[in-house]
Amino acid sequence: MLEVSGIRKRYGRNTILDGVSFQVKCGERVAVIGRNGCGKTTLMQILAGVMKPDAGSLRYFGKDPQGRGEYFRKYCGYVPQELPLMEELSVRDNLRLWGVGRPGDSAELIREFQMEELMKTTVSKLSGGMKRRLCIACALAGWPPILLMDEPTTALDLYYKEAIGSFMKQYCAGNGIIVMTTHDEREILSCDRCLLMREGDLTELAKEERNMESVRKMLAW
Amino acid sequence: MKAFLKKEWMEWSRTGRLLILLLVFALFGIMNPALAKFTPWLMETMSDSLSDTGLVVTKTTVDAMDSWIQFYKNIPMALTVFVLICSGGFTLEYEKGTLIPVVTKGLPRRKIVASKALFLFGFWTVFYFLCAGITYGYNAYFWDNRVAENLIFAMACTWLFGVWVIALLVFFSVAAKNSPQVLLGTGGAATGVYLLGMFPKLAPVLPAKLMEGLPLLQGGTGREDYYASMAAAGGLSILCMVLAMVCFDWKRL
Repeated sequence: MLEVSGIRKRYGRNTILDGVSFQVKCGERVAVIGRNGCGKTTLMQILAGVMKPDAGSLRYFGKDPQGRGEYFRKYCGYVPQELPLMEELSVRDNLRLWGVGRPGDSAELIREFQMEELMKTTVSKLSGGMKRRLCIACALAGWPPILLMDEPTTALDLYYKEAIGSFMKQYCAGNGIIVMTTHDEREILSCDRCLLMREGDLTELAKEERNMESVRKMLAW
Repeated sequence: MKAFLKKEWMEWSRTGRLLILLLVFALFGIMNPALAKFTPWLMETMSDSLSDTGLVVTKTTVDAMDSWIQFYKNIPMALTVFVLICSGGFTLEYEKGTLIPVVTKGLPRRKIVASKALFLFGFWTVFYFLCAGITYGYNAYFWDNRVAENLIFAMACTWLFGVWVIALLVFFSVAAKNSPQVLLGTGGAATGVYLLGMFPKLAPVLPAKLMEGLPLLQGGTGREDYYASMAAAGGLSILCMVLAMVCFDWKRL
């Protein structure tokens, strides 16, 4: 289980996260939605251990990972919004950098993401969709039980969206936890829960509220 | 840590940075004795046009000292090229977000700074001594290096100056957001120290003094005149590294 309690973060005088709390159970897929710049990426980076919160606590299966890098590595995979790949290196080198190289780990991941024939290809030559898939594969090094994805299907065509969607279903079916940020209505509907971020806090949306019209009204767009 | 060091190596080698710097430093190493060697010939070919202007060129003789004079003229340029090429080492990673996965995979932030600094200091050492070694080799072949006093000590002083500049580069790479800011900070700090050297009381304790290697080679000054600036360069380099590590802990990646 992922437990987030009272997370606060300020940039100068701006309060980005103002006591964010929520829980996610095993096998759940949760969407975090909200306007651009509302703090979704900050929240994801705190959950992934990239950034330290000013206050609040974080628990992965009852354990506090803050200050313990090995906990983040063991329990959490993070797919950032920007593709953090080394463009001049090959697919194989990028996978190795992220730690995909342990016996039994690499072969399964490479097969899962259909990258067998691309291993020697330089990342700069891959399409946007393939890069995104590679990014997810990299984040899954060591098969962590929690996967954090920041707008994973942005700028992807339908084929890749479907492929990533079906992977997410499969991951959660295996008791994995996914927390993702998105602006895509179809993705929001496919998630088990939806959290709306506004003014630094999260509000859970009921099933019938998970449509763009309701969200627009709530955010007064 | 091992994987990150490997990544750094791959980045240095596959981006061409390693090859470019290798060529630049080797070229400077060859240029020092070559320029000294060709000086008499150049003077001879120019003597006719110079005599028209009233200048009389007598026979010029060169030795290893002329080559070392060239070395001290060229090494600041080589160091500048090194800083220019390496100024994006951190900032490009912030821009592309490539340090994020490394942090999420559990590598402590201080080890990231340490690994990158290790490569910078390591390659500066290798390239610097490659350049000095080539110059030394050619000098030994053409002339005699014994004309230069305190040669190893003078070389060590220049190397230490480079270490201080690279420590500044590491600090500004952590503090700044982009490559121009890094260059501005590093260049500004180094220039500031040179300007402080205009105050006679400060000059002997500033790292800039370490680049004045020629008086050492010519026997005009003694080693003891450089101890204070060596201590200052060493101390400031350690301070820059400590500050860089502390700042990097709070850096938004």
